[in-house]
Amino acid sequence: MTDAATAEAITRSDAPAVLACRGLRKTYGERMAVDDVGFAIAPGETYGLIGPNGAGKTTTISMVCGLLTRDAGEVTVAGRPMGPGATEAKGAIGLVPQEVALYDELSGEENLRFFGRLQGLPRKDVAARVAEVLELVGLADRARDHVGEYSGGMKRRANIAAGLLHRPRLLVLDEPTVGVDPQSRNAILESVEVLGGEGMSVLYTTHYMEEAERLCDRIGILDEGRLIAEGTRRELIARLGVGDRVDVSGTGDLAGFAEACAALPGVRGADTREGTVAVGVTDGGAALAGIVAAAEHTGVAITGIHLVEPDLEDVFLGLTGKALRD
Amino acid sequence: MTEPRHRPTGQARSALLIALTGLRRSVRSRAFIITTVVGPILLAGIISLAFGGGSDFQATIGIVDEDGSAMTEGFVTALTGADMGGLEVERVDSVDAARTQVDDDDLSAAIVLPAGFGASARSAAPADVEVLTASDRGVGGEVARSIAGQLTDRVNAARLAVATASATGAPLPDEDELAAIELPVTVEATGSGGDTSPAAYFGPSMGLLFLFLSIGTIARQLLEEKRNGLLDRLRSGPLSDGALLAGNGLTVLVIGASSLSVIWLATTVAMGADWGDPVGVALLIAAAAVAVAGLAGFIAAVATTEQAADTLATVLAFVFAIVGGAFIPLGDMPEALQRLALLTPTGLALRGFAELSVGEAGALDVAPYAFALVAIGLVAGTIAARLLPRRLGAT
Repeated sequence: MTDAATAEAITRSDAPAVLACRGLRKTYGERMAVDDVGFAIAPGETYGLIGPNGAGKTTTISMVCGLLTRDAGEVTVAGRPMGPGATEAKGAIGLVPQEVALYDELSGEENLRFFGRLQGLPRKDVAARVAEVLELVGLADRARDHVGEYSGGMKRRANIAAGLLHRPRLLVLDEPTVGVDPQSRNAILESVEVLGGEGMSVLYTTHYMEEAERLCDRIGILDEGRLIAEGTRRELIARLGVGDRVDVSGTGDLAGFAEACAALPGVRGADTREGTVAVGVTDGGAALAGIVAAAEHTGVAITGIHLVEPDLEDVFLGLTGKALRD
Repeated sequence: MTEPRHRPTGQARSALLIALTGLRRSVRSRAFIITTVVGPILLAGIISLAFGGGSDFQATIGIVDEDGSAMTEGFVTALTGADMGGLEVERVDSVDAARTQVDDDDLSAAIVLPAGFGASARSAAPADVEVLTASDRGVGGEVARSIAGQLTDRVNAARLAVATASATGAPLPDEDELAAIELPVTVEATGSGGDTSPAAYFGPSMGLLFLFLSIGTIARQLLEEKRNGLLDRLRSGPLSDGALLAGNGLTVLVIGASSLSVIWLATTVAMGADWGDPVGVALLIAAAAVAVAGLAGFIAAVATTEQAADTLATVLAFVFAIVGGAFIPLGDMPEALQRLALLTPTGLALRGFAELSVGEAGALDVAPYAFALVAIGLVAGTIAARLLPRRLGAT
């Protein structure tokens, strides 16, 4: 991501960015882990940083949160410069690490009280805030149980709760659903949606495309340490220029039907495969009527029709030539 | 969205919070309590029993005079008539009788002064004394060997004086003069104090051994917290690395001091041990805890994995224990090893505790050992403070 693009992202919002970073660089020996990465997050925005394992997501987050010194680049959080000793900037961040970062020997409530006090919450406010956050993540009835006795999903939810206690301006979630059962995963995603809806800025890293598509207002794609694309889901797909696909199943002269489809306006091409004709179109909704008419004209009886929109997986494949989970 | 209501947290207060939470977690860990309190007390009790059981040393040693010279008679009279606390020396008529009594456990050991022992002072042949003891008769046998050693030393010294006189042409001492050789036999459980109880020595020694073993657990915990993101969570908040390290160091310091204090109390109440001047004991306990805290940080800083931390701490703990005299009282070690022991924190602390438990030393007397322990802790802690932030990922 270039600095110009970062600046553009910042100016898109009226309010100053909660997080602005530019030119981030980190090397480990000969290996460049993060190279010239920059992006910004506006107030209330949920920003997804996606990429395969080893793409540099956690290293980027570590620099954003001041856990790791940068070889180059700048980070400001809530207008304050970030670094390992920048306690003011750190006070505006709530980090939810990838692993469950809680003490097993303490109860959920004790863990949260500790982290809340450490974040500077006044003693008189801690109990109420802990109860509020436990309620938000659905753990109020297990508050006094030791975290070591929680299920994996409950631990993950408590892990998120610990990052929310001080009402951070920026919540940073590092792959919060890895290894989580579907029910807990859904609960976590719902919590993030609620927080985003309440106006909290969120930096969310994942290698699950569907999560990024569901949660994030804007997405940055990281590959081999570089931010190779950034924008809304629609912008990214448009940049790729692959359009939609209409899959038509039917009986009759499918080859003739495919030829007729290919001649339609807005159709990029059509291909027959195992009783289905895949029609590549610029806009699936607009092309549907023409495709159905072509079927009637060529005597094909349609048994099924599906509109398939490209997803971030396709975008990543198109940009890098490899699947996201490779 | 509500604005954050947090206020900047004082770094000292944060360090205290971390320390208190660390202590709370430690108290709830059964394994940790066993390692730092129960284990040392049990082991100290067992070893104390093996070394004589209680605070009063009691042993009866037999002495057989096969020589019958004026010199040996003098020795026997001196030993049987001397007031040596819990040690009693009684004359036995023959070697066979002595052996039977030792085997029957009527005597802890027996010293045999062979025929010609007195005359050896005037000859070129060295004096030799036999000690009869059973292999399982710990301290009594050791005391008998000690007395025998002192007797032969005296006779050999006299033999040297005779040889010197002969060589220089001076008049040779007669038998009566040799019989008047001063007999400086003293009975001291050297190292653990003149009349110290084994529990007063092995209490702190086992406490220190287990504490140094437990620093592996502490260092491992820190590395574990790095691995599972806990340190990242702590460090992502308004907390300096210094406060984080200080908090953890404080936890270890309090654990160390508490562990040794509980052992002090338990061995005093349950085993009748007298550790000596309470102020001196408290000073040494505090100083030892500083050393433990510093070394725990050092191990966490240099160990690359949790397993490495465990291994390093175990090796260090046993080297300190063996060289420092945790298993064998310092006074029973060769002089070179006694000097070497003072290079280890265990040796320094035990020397101090031993001097206190004898009953004559006070806080001022053991202050040099305390200073040395604090210095070890500070040096190790300073190295840790420089290395740990790098290890924790700050660079």
